[in-house]
Amino acid sequence: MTRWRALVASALGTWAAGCAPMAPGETDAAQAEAIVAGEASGAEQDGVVLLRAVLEDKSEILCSASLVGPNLIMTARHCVAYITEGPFSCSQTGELIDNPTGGGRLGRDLPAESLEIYAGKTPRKVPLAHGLQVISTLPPTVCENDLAFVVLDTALDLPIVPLRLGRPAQPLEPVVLIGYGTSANDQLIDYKTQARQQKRGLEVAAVGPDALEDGVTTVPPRALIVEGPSGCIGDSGGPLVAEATGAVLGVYSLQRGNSCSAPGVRNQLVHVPPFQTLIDEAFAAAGCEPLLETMPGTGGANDGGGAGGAPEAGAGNEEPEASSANGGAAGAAASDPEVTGPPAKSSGCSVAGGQNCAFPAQIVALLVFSALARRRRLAWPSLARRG
Amino acid sequence: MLAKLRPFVKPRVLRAALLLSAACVGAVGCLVVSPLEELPAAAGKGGKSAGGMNAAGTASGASSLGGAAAGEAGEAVSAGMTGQGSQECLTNAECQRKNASEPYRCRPSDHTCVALKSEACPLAYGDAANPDAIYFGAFATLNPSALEDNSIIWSHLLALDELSGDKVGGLPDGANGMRRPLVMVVCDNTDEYVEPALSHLIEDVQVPAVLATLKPGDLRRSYDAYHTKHDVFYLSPVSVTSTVATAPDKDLVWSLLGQPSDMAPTYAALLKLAEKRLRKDRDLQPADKLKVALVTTTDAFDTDLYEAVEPLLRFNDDQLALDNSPDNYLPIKLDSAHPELDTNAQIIADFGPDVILSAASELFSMDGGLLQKIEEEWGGAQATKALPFYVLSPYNAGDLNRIILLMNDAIEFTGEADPQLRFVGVSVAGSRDATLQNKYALRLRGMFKKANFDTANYYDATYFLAYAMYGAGTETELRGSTIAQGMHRLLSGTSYDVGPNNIDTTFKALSNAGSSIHLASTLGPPDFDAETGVRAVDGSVLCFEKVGLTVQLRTDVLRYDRDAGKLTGSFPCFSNFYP
Repeated sequence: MTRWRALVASALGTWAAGCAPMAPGETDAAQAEAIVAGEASGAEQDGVVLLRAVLEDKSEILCSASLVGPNLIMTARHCVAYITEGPFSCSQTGELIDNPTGGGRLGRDLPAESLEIYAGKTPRKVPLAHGLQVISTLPPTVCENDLAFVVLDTALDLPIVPLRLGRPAQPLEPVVLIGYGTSANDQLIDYKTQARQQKRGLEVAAVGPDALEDGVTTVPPRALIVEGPSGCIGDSGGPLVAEATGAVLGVYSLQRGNSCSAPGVRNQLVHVPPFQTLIDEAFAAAGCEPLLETMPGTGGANDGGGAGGAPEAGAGNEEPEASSANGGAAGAAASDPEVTGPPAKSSGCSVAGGQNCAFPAQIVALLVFSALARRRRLAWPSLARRG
Repeated sequence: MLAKLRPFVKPRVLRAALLLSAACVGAVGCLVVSPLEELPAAAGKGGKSAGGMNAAGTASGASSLGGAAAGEAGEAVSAGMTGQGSQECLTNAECQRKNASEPYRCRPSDHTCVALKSEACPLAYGDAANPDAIYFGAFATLNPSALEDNSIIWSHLLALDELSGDKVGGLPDGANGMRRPLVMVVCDNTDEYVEPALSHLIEDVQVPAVLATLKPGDLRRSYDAYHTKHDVFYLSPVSVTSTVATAPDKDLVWSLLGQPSDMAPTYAALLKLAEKRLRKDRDLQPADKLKVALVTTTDAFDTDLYEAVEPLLRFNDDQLALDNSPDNYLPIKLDSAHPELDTNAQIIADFGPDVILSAASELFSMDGGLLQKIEEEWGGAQATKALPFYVLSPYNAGDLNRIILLMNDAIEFTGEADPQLRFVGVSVAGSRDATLQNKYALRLRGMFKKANFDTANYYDATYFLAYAMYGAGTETELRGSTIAQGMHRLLSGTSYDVGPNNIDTTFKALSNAGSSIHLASTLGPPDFDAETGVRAVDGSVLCFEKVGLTVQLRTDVLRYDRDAGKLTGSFPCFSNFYP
């Protein structure tokens, strides 16, 4: 088994100005608790794939991704780009701040050919595909637009994950997080055997604006927030799908907290619908069309995902079983005749501003990488001479 | 406002090309980050709706931003286009909103949204959404894993912050009296990216100017490729070759750091000093011949330097190098594509020169380069033949860490007590008056704490470009040829210094059409040749001092005075050399 460690961009969180950091001892209390491992992820979610990058120095990176076209995956950009290690914070406007060691900065894309794709079936031996081209908005930091697409060299015979386009995720909308991550910060991962898992019973806690011009809020632009334990190391790039339709609403990006399992952990995802232009570019490059979210009639059945079911939801502390009756695995929900549309926008329950202060002051980019991975190069490439 | 002006750590201090070497006083400043104000809650549980979170809102919001621009996408519409028709955009802001707030431009020529960033040009700075924004390109050697960790970029950014930050806001006389912010797109100058970067800047973004930190060949190729269809002004912050300097370029190619012929007299003077010293130290009689090797490569700059240096070299009774016997003079040209370093090191070691002059770039000084291999072949301090004395090239001066490491290794491992006594180098001289340079260094360190000070040429280039763009006038769209005209307005007249304290007065001085100023930069006076666009520079001498058990660099210790035709200054590194 290969030993992995987290890219921990720790400390100095400032989402809530003036907040006190979480008390010592609170952070390690639940490391053995399964996070994403609320449930096993079934074959219907095989469109959620494992992304492995093998760098020049043979170090490895492990992330999750969604197969959104036969030869196209969607993931977090920090999974497919060089990144500077070190502590950092992100402001509400999506700016990188408080990074005394340069942490949180993104460099160039990794060589596309270094990206390997594996599916859920284990043990994994040979990658199903490699990358051909990485497409993103080239964000300079992980704080904003942490989204990338990778065109693959092989079309995969796996379920295509639908996308929600043209309308945003809704606060309180029931969602499912799927990924190949660990259940605690310090666990080991072997990419050959790591199981895919899903976390049900989540809901969208907040949705950021599409642009700062729409107003600065407590959520960065084009971001979603999911509160409470869910994603962990290795879930970066994994999809947050609408429980009702299985369509991707968000891509797992950052975590604010000292531990994946801390009760107050706050998960930040990239909100997919605002990236229409990038999505168009990626699908054009891949030569395919997105599978759009199917919107069933609103007369939906008993899924509890409608407007009526959400307001009572707690802040991410529901028992996973509470939503299991919703039926329809996330990856296949689009074809489930019983699912309904997402809940209508709700006034929701109150999360006072002060409640942000309960969030541990830490942000973590949840990819996995080996001990020597992702260090900044110590020497610039020389200015090669051509005359 | 520049959004990304943050201090960084672990900067790379390796300079990519010819840089100004100047001793500076370090200083530490502080970056003040304003506290975040209270913010409304996001759309979510209990929070106020932020509004505008749907696609329709995004689209409709953009249109209200159009029509105010002068000189950019917006104004082109007001100049006669009716309705959007097939046009994709009306304003820069509209494009930015459509593209996740990433920097985009609504290209005036066809009203298409174009990304400022690309794989070859992955960085953009400045208020790109502003309808009055002025876009230009810049080049640096980018570290793939930390793109912004770059002293060249930091130097440009300092100038950009002073000229276009919150205090000044950009060039005056935009539409309705608004300032015109400067937007810089930074591209990678490594070989694989140069051509796509130039295409992106010139054809896609359609910038009128490029701060061209490029190898001379790349600069020339860019001009040749684009000048017939695109009117682009190039200002090279580094040196160019004589070919670039003298070839017809419609006045569009300018250079701040001179050309190889500016440095050649310094080589000749140093060889004379070296011969005098070695004859004394090695007890050579007049009949004994000094042996000299001159190393270059097939690269354009190196070849140019070699061709400028060789005719000036005199030794052994003041004989021209070319008149010396082949037993005493060995010119070596490395094939850059196939340098055969081991073979050439063997040839040089067998020749046994007393002095090795480098007119070569990194093939000479890099890890595993020719210098290292010569030292290995020679056999160290115990060799029967005295170790050679080196004169390093201006290009080597940009990569001295490796050579210092070699010297320190020699002290520690080979028993050579004072290897620094065998090394001097040629570089570009800083300003005679270091006041502006030192002030620059203080401000740079205040903003980027680990920045390399020897980067003032990049800072100066940004100022020259900004003032030239303003000097080009605001009546028409900026073009390369009008910017070149603006450059000519900076070469003579009342003197104004670069730097944050003189910006408004300089703009005011240039606001009268036909006026001109003398723009004093950190490098010194604007000694541009108005015919070639190349600024004349003096050569300078660097050397190394041993402090304790390690070797340290001393820059600009001597300066070659072009008017007097001799070296001036004091030489602190070792005795029996100068005067």
